[in-house]
Amino acid sequence: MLLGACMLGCVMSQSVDAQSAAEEYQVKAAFLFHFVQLVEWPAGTLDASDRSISLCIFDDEPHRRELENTIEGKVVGMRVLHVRLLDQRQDIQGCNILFLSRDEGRRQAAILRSVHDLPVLTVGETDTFLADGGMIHFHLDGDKIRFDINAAGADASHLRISARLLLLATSVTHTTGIGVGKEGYAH
Amino acid sequence: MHVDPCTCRISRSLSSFILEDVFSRVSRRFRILIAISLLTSAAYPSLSQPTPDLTQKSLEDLMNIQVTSVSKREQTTSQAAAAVFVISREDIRRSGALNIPDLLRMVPGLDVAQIDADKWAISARGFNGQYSDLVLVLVDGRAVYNPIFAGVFWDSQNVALDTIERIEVIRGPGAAVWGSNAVNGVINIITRSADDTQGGYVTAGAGNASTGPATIGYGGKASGIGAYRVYGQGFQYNSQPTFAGLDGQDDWRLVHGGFRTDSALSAKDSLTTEGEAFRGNAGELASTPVSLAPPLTATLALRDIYSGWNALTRWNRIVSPHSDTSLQVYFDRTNRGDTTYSLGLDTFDIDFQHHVLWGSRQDIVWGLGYRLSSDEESPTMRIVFTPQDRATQLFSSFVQDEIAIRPDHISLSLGARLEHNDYTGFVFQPSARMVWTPNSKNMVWSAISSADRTPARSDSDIRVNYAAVAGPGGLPMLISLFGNPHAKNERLTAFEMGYRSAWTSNFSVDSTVFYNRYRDVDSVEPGATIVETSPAPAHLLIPSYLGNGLHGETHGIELFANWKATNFWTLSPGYSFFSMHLHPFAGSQDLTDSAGDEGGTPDHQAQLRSSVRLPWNLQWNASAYFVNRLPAVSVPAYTRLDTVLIWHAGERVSVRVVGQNLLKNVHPEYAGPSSSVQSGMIKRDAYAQITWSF
Repeated sequence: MLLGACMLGCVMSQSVDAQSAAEEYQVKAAFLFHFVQLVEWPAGTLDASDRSISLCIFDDEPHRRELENTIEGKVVGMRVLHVRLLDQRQDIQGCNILFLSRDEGRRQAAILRSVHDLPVLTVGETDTFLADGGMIHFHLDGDKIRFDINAAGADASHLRISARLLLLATSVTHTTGIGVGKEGYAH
Repeated sequence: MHVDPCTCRISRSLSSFILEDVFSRVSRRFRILIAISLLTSAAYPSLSQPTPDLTQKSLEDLMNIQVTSVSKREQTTSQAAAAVFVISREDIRRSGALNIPDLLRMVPGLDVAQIDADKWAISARGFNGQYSDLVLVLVDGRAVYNPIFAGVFWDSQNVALDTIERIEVIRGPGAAVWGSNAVNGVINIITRSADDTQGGYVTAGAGNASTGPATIGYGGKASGIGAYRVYGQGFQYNSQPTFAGLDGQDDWRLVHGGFRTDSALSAKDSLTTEGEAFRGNAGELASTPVSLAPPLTATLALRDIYSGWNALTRWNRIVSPHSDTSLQVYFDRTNRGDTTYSLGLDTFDIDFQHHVLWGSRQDIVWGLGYRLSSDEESPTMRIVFTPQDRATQLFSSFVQDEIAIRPDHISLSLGARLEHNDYTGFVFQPSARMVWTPNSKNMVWSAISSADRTPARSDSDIRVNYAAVAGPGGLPMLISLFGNPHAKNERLTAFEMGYRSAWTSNFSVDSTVFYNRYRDVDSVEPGATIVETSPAPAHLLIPSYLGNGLHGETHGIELFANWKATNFWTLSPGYSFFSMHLHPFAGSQDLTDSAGDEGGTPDHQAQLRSSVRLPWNLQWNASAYFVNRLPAVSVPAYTRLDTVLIWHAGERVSVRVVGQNLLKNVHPEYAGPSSSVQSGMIKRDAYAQITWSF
């Protein structure tokens, strides 16, 4: 019921949904893993020496553990995906992907401006994320994860997003601030 | 962009065909019905079966996975058909509180009053006192409500704040769910999964009121047991002045340590095991009879020494997507006492629970439980239990069904609990709750429920000698209170209604009104003076007897709002009004109890909390609490101002500077000069703490 399961309800029903539902941020982490495969960075922008790709999150990111547990150390092509924690904005220099969970709030506009023309794939969750200049926006359709793409933003950073990813997106935006549906895109 | 529109169109239609096919096969099997327990599943992601490697799934598959959304979870609290407030991990991180009672002050409608360095009176909706007997407190499902004195010894509930995932506070009855004594509220302390506390940390701090807590903790993974953590903590609180300005000698010291493991036994089974041991002592100045010869009664500096340990294990099994079970067993040993009382208590408890989704509209939980509480007491000049030792058994069963009458809009939840205890036999506690969600921004709930407080040893078997004084003819005179072996349950019938709304994405409100009817409330009935010869010498006995001679009503309003004024500033105002009227049944000559209850809870409480995120990784929070006067215990109205500045100095180090009770040098919060315990005046406090993670 709405109050709780039972005397032990609060602590005993922990796995109620384990089979039919997964943790939102573990699944989102897996999406990020696929994004890395389906986005092409400009030549020379990925670190040639250590063969790593850095996914950056802020150190107060509430879903850090789910993200790390799901994708830290995963191999993408010839590279290894690492989750890197940021405590200051200047650090963004070495990031290939920047993930801002919904909790960043309006701080994100400033962050996104600071990486505007850097080859950093930005992924976020707030309603204003694309309008603020972000590239891929997660949203929920019922209890399933969907995403929108701001292709113009990716263009500005010289990132090439594969057709496959664009196809799966709910909507693709071509110019900053104007979203069009899939049908619009296809023409 | 470098996409060929033609290729694009073809493959899109292909992929959408595939997607639609998959979509149509996936039913919405799981609905979030058990709001709070699901909140827990949120907190323990890794407790569920070993997570399959999600990166091995295709994007299309990922898009078809049902997720337990965090936003939905946040909503589930607001969907609860009860007055629920959750103190989140984030709230704890941002708070300046050093202990659980101070943390609980933020809960609107809860009445938290510090008595002295180590004692608090904490209740909801009235009947507050050092032993608030109408609020059930659980730590990870282990009841810490003391069945001897009917209440909670807050000084031995020192879960390290860093290990708490969240605290759920329910104001109002929860007995149909949690069992007897969950009459006016439930406080559910839930610790973090060992998976979430990997790595080590050290915390140290000091201030003018306390040294510590100093904490060291470490979490790792080991083959065979899965994730684990171990921790230890120690602290000392300095003594506070009494009302009369004396040193209250109520300094308080504690060391405790424990562990928790969380492991996945198979894809369907998970096991949590945890344990803790503690040892501490705290002082007080109390007036108590010392002998039947002069000086008769004296004010003594008492030192309460206590220790204990507990261990709990819980096995969760997913039987099918529609069904899961849990089995929990715990043992708890507590010893405590000073020269006026002494108790030892062993508790063994086993609970089974089965949760099943039945059809598309019903969500059922049922369970069975057994508890054995065995205590031994030593008689003192002040307190004697008859019988001296006693073992009591509690059998319980419950069932609860949530029915979606109109899915996503109207649901009805019916529950009942049947228990059998050794004092009053069978107890039946039903409840009916209804939720109406007209749209995603508004919800209204209402509930009618009944809840009982069952007698404790202190209701039935106790004799308290309050004072010895010189009587007429040189005879000593003993003033004593006797328990009632035929004590009845105190029974509440509660009518509640609540409204929650997110008016905008930045402003939400939560309001509750309640009307409670109590019967068979504890009373103190006078008895005839007699001459008592044992213990010698012969003396006059002025007895009074505990009864169930009162009935009455309470009503009140609890309001809370949350306003994100800007993206860096959040304001949370709260207000509660409370009123109580108790009346004696015919035949009752209640002496003091009703006035004490009526005047022991503030009629008005208000709070304003502010949380500001500053540049340079700084966070500044301030909380102001207004509590109106408590006429029964001579405590004047006061306003308390607490503040904390937190600096996250990089990834591994955080520093916090705390100021508490900033408005006055000292102020009282509870009890008064007439109490046998000399209450403390709560001092202004400055405190600094540093945490290093590794």
